[in-house]
Parts: sequence; C-alpha cells; structure tokens
Amino acid sequence: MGKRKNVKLEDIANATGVSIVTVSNALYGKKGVSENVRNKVIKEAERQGYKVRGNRGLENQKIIRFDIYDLDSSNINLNDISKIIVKIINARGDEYRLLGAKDLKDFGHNIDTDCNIIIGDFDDESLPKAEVPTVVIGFGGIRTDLDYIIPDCFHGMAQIIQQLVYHGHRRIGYMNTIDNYNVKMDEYMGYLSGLMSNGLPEREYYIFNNMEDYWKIDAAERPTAIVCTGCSEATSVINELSQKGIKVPEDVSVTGFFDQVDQDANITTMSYSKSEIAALSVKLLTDRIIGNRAPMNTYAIQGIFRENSTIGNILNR
Amino acid sequence: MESKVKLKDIAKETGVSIVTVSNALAGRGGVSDEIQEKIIGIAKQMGYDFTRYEKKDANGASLAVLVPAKDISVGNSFYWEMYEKVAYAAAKRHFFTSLEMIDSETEGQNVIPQTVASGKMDGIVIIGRAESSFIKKILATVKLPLVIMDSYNTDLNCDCVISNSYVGMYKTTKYLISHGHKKIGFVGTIALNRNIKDRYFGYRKAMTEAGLTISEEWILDDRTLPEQNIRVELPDSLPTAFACASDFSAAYLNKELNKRGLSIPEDISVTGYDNYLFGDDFGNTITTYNVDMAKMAEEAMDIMHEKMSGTTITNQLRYVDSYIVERSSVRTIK
Repeated sequence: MGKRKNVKLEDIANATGVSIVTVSNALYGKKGVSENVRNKVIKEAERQGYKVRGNRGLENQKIIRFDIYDLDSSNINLNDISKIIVKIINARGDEYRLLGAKDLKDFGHNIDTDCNIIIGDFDDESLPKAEVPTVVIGFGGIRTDLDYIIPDCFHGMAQIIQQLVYHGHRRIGYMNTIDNYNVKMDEYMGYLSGLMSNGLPEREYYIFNNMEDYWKIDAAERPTAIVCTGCSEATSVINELSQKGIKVPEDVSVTGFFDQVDQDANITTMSYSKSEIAALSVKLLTDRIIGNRAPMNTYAIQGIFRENSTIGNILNR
Repeated sequence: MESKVKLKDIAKETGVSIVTVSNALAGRGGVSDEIQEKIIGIAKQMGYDFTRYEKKDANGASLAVLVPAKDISVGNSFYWEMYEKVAYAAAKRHFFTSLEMIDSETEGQNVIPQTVASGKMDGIVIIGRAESSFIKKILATVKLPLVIMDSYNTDLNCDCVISNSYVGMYKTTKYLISHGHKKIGFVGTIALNRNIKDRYFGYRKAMTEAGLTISEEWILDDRTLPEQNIRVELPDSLPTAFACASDFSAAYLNKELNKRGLSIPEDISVTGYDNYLFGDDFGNTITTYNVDMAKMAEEAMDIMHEKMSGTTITNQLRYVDSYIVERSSVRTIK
C-alpha cells in the first residue's frame, strides 16, 4: 500500500488503444477528449496504479514525495493520523510511502524523498540530521532541523484542573500511569500548574499509580476528583469505583484526556483534532518545499474541553 | 493547485446535507453554533475556497491598537517593537492602525478608549498586559474582534497570541543541561503572571525529565510585589547555572553576581528569555530564547482577518515558538 509505482503514459496508451497525447489530455482535464474516452483512460490509469493528479498540468508542479513513518500504533491518540495524512496527500495528487519503526534506521538514505513525517515517540537524538523538511508529530523536542507538532497537553490539562475547581473540587488526585510518552510529562506539568493557579498545595500522596493507593488515603482526605491521563485509564477508574459502590460523577469526578475509543463512554476530557494536526503537518512541509525558510518550531495545538458526564459539582453536597 | 473542494465533498465528510453546508459556510443560520463551527473547520482543513463568503470590507479595515502606557514609555522599547511588527503586518493586509496609549487611570476606571468609542474601528489589538475588567468592559460595549498580544487571561472571551513560554523555557533549561549543568536555579517571580508561571513549568519539565532536583533556595524572585520593581537577592550557596525568565532579570542577576566578585560565564552560566535587551552591554552576551514578534503579529492579523470576514467565530489561543540564540553566557562543565 502506498508504494510509488512507475506507470508511464505509454502503458496506458497501449492498454486503451489511444495516443499518448490523448492519454495526457484525458488525465489532465484538457479539452478535445470525449467523456467516454476520458473515463476509459482514467479507469485504466487507476487500475495500473497511476496516481491522477487532479487539475495540475503535466508541464508544471512536480509531485511531492512524502515518507511517512508511523511508529507507534499502540498510542491510540496518534493512530489514524497517518490515514488522514494519506487522504490529504491523495487529494493533492502527491505520493507517499508508509513506513514503520524498523525503517527509521534508513532515515535520510532515500534520495527520492522530498519530505518526511514521523508519527510517534522516538529517540530524536539518535536520528541523523534531516536534509529535507521533516515534521515530527506527537512529541516536542528541541532539534533545530525538525518541526514538531504536539497537542498542547500542558495547557489542556491545566484547563481540566480549572474546570474541576469551577465545579468546587479542592482535593484533586492524579492517576499517573507509567509509560514513556513525552506528552505525559506535559500532562503532569499541566496538573501541577493547575493546582498552583488555584492556590492548591501539591501533595505527593495525591499522585498514585493505581487505585490501591487511592483507597489507602484516609477517607476524610481522599480526592473528590481523579484526573487520568487518558480515557481508557478513566474508564478503568470509573469501573473500579463503581465496584465499590461509588457513583461517578455524583460522589467522585473522573476526567480523561484525548478522545475516547468507546464513543458511548461520555468521559469528561480534552479533545484534539487529528485532522488539524494532519493538515498542519502537510501544510508545513509543502510551505517549506516551496521556499519558506522560517526556522523550525514547535506547534502546540490547542484542544477543546468536552464536558460530557463524568465531572460533577460538589458544591451542593 | 489542489483539486477543487466542493460543497458535496464537505457534506460527505461532515455527514450533513449540501444545503446545511452551504448555509453554515455563508453564516445564514439554521444550524447550531457547534455544528456550524465543525462544518467551517472541516471545510478549511479540506482547502475549501472561502473567498466568495468574505465580506468585502475585510480590506481597508481600521484597527485600534491599544497599549498600556506603562509598557510603551520611551526607552522601554520591547512593546514599541511589537507595535511596529503589528503595524507592518497590518499594512501588508491593507489594514490601517491607530495607536492609542492607555494610561493607568483610564484602565483603572474602565473608560472606553477614544479610538474604540469613535465607532470607526473594525477590530482591536491590545499589546501587553491590561486589566481584565478593562478588557471585559470593552468586549461588552463593542462587538468587535479583539486580539491580545503577549499576555493571556483564560477568563476573557477573545483571541490571544503569545510566545510559547512553556516550550521556550524548556528549551533554555535543556540547553543548560546539555552543557553539563546539574545544579540549575530559576530566576522569575512565578506569582507575577501566567507567562512566568508557564516558564517555571517549562524549566521544571526539563529538570524532572533529566532526573535533576529542584532546590527551593535557587528559585529566585526577580520582582517585588505588588510594585513590580526589579530585585534579585542571591542566596548564600549558588548553583552552577540559572535559567532566567527574562533577559532583563538576567542582566540584573549579572550585576548582583558581579557585586560578589563572580562573573558570567566563568563562575555561573545564565540563560535568558525574550532576545530583547535594550541598552545593556550584557544583552550582547546572553544566550536566550527568541520571541518572534513578527510571527506573532502575523498570527494576530490572520485571526483578525478570519474574524472580520466571518470564516472563524470561535476564539483562539495561539502560541508562537521560536529558537535559542546562542551567545556566550553558558559554559560547558564536565
């Protein structure tokens, strides 16, 4: 899938019995070709794997060749982004190759690649210098030869804490699942920042790795809200709470982060647009290819707070 | 250049009818605000050509640029430069700008500025920190797009463009760490405003990631509160480096270190923030994080254009990142 093919106009001409000029005119929407012939040519071209370029003429605009490294399909927040990017690239009439983590060792060796997109967490210090425009999606580094696009989890998590405070919560716990994602650190800083903005103290015992630690806290001191770093974590927490007869959100509020896999779950969360991230990655690369020499930056995408139904007001209790 | 996106493509993508898409894009109503935003958002991402919907008066628009007088006095030129970038970005788009300085009395008494009260303006830009109540009064009185630059308040219903303090300070702290420093302090008054708080957390992120301890005695305030006069008090023991929340504080820190017979970078390494130190020799030596004012001005004008032509109705908070400027205030230690 996504392999760039080398189909020539002659191949299509031979298969359809028309001239190369007619094939070219048919593919690029030029006049002088009947609808019948045009459809026949396009069909044969697509069958042979030739990518029709929309309204671009033959004589101009070279096709841009993207290498997409999709590294981290276990991170549900990043999967599907490569699919959206592929859709955008196809709509533009450009070409792509879909690669994986094992291909990163060959990064920079492909001479026919115009630009790269790397999706997921990786050791950006070991990657060779990028000779062509390259965008990293999913974490923020500081290399000056790469653009980074990240969901702004720091400010996003601070917003969740703020919403909890607006709902009357002062004892806010943090479920810290252990993993290596760089964005989790941003979420944690956002939690701390949210506490600080509202004059709430940082308490070590409010940060736990599992619900056993939560139950160990004295009932009078126990958090009235549990902040999770993802929606599936939030779902686990809600299930554990309900097993002990604790109702969410009436007794305890629970929040997640990013989108939820199960659309019915209705978890209070921050949502980031994958389409926005995908579109920005392509735009950054195509801008650089046409000559934009701005320095490489980190682009922090803002999220939208989804109130849903796992956040409750404790002011009335 | 791209194949033309049609209404039916958008209808397919959003799951509504073509008529609904058309009404949403033209702002004719008939759909909830949420759905309208979603349709417009998806149309933009797909590259739909909005020019037919742009109101003709987006060209030649007049913008009031308000700056608190305390931030733009002569010799205090950070915000003068920001104003210059705004005026330039505006002029490129054929917008006219009128600068009005807001004195603290006008601000304190929530008086509507003259340029705004004149009724001749199509949009407002506020550069620097103005009181929330003052801004709220303006928003309540006039229904104009309003973009704030270089400061933000989450409780305000308007657009904001600021430099990404969290990312910037993360970069400067990582720079120190990559040069071998493990004992790193922070200079900035965290309670002063949200920008400085964000910078503290960028510093903290870098330290936490590297497994380094943050020592409370090396977190130094740089302002007295509430007067906001600059003052840095050195503790008895010192770290090997300080990540400062502004070039201004770094320069003041330099003076205090000199009083103790210490110099930068031989004894202590220092990084700043802003890349803007007017009239100080130290400014030519400081390694710092650049604030890309030109880019911020462009973003602000983009938002203004989108708001005035109706292509966006929600408020945005845009963070602008930039690069580290390496000079000579950091020494590598083993």
